[in-house]
Amino acid sequence: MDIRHTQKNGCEVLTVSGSLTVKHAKALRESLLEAVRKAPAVEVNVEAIGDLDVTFAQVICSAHRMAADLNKQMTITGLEQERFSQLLGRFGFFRHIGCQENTRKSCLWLHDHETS
Amino acid sequence: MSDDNETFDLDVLREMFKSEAYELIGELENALLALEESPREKDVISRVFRALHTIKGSGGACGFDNISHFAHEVEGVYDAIRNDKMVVTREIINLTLAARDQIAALFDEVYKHTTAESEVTEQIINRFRSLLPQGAASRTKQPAEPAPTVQEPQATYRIRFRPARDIFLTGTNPQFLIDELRTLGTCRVVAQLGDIPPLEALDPELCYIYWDVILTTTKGVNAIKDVFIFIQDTSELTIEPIDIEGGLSEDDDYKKLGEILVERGDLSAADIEEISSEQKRIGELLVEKGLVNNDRVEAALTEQQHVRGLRKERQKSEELTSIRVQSDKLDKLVDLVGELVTVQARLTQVATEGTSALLLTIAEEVERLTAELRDNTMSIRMLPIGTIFNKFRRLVRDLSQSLGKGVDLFMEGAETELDKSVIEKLHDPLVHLIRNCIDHGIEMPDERQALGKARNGNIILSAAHSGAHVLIRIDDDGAGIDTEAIRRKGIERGMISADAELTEKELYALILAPGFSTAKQVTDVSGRGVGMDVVKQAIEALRGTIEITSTRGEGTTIILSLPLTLAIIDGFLTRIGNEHFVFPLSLVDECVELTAAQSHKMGDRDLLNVRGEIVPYIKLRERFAMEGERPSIEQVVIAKVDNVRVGFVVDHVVGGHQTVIKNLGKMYKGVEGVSGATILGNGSVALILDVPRLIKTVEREETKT
Repeated sequence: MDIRHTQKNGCEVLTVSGSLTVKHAKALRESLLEAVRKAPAVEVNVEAIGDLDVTFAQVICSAHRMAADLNKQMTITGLEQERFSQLLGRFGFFRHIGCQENTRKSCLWLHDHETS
Repeated sequence: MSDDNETFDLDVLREMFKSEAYELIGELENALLALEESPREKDVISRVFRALHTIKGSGGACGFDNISHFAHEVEGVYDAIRNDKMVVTREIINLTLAARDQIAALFDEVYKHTTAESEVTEQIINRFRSLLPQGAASRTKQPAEPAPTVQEPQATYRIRFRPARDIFLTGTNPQFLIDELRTLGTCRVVAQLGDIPPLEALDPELCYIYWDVILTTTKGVNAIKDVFIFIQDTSELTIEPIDIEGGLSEDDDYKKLGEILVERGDLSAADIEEISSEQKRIGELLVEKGLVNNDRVEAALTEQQHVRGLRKERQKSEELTSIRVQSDKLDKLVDLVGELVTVQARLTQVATEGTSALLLTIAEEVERLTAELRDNTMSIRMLPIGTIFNKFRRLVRDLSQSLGKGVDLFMEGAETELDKSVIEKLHDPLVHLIRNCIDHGIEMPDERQALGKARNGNIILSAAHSGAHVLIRIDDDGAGIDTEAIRRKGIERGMISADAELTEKELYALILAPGFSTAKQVTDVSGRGVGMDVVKQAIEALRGTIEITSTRGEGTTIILSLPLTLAIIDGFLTRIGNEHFVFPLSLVDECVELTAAQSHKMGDRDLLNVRGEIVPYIKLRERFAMEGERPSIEQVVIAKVDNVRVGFVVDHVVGGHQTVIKNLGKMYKGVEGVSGATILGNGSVALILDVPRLIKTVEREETKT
């Protein structure tokens, strides 16, 4: 896994590539923790990742919660790719209603379609 | 639920299961007979296993613990066979057929109030246990054994799977388990994310997520448990059935969101009560008040949506397929339709005789609807004849084995439909005929071989429609009927004189006479001289006929001709003097006027020239010794029986008539040529003519003179 940090209009952008599985969960957490603490807004770009599992979703969800607690913004790009949306749908991440922290309707898992 | 309600539910469930129970027994028997022919066929082995497994499961659900236990013991052997620990042998088949009979006896005990011998159950169980290889006997106690892939009733389960926090560190990925669950059926998965802490507190190598899964499957609960078998000690797993196909308490709308959350243990009943008075969506309210988190509401909504969809689909498919109705209700319906047809005939008559055009229009409309109702009602009672044909496989197998003969049974036209009541009454006559075929017809294998025949004899049981009749044929390639032996026996029994010259047909007719038997030895199979007489009586009681043809050394054919229905037929109404007679419309070919120019006599036989064709005719007025004036122009109803046209002279032709058949009393049993009666619109009685019998009687009389 490789994580590249850049800034865009005051927003911390993390561009991730490679695999995002349990082996890399710790490193991802560290990077996200640093970014959320540092910047008012964080964008995670996963367009170039090859593989992901539920540990990735767990870390992302946790980071989003922290951002919401700190009244910061966090977005994710690249997850709309079918291979990811199928996988996340299969494991029950998509939501019609976001979690309690979703006060600004920014839940990362809000989704229209269901996978059965 | 109170005890009373539970007893009621069980009683209802048992009643609902009744017909299925006997179907399962039938299926088990058919599968076993198929297995005997293909002992290595995996599909057939699975078929036997499935039948046993369903008897076990459904029997258990209905509280038939003895049957469930018994089926379980038998199933054990088939499980070992499926897993290549045993092979199918003749002994296993015989023993399983005995087990099938015992299961039937156990069901009869409940449903028919007969007595089953419990020691037979024990004996069979012990024999099955002795057959099991070492180690296979305790199959249910081995948790590592894969779940049997059997078809159970479709059920929906609510599964909550909370993996151990360190599951990732043990090398197990919960994703694989969810994926495996998906292979069992239709799955809706909601990951519960509420326990995931903010990033500072998160250990990313631990699992904070748990899953709520709604799974609809036919594989049963054990298959679900097997998915989690390796992590069951460290993870939390709850599996609850929430919807079972054919379940009793099926509410189309399923549960309310609050009920689901309480059932899941996500919310207390008191919370629900408190909140229900507020005019707001319950999910929003619960979240607002912090009583439950969004994820759990999401999971409950998913469950609600899934089960509602499922029930709607099921309801739709059930509407399109079939329902089970007790047969006595159908009988009652047919009776009522019969009464309606009679009343309708009366209405039509009154309307025709009156002057009201409106009444006539209404009467015509009622007539049309009644005819449609009649046809639909009769079609409901139609069953494929295969339902009894299949039962004869076992008969042929057991009988041929006990006699040391080889017999192969072939069936054709099993899909041919016949009225339910005819089918029910046909079983015993067919048993007699097939027994006779095997006992008297088919030769011993060595004898057949010496004659250049295959060692195994063939019996072909076939059915086909022929107009308003169904023809059932039993063909065998056995020894054929020894006409000389019949003649000798006929003389011996004083049935014919020593110098009587009988046609083959007449000789065969002797076989059907009471007390006739040519068997050299009375066996427990047949040869008591009662069978064929009983067959004849039974077939005639069905308004059917029986015909025998045979070629010595080549085989025998018995043809039963049976009416499609015993209740209502399309008739053709005629009149002689003041009396009415009904011809079955299916036999009527045409009607012509009887003119002196076209009729002539040849000996005692009256003949009519119909467009160049010579047709013999019978004067019904004379035959029934009816007095009174003949009309100047008489009518001839030409009927066609066995491709032969015969005319019947009547005074007047009235026309088509829906004929509700009423049996004549015992007093009229001996009257030849009349098969029943019907009530006409004016309340008078018309006799239904037995046309084939009339023709035969006249033929017989002509031969004698």
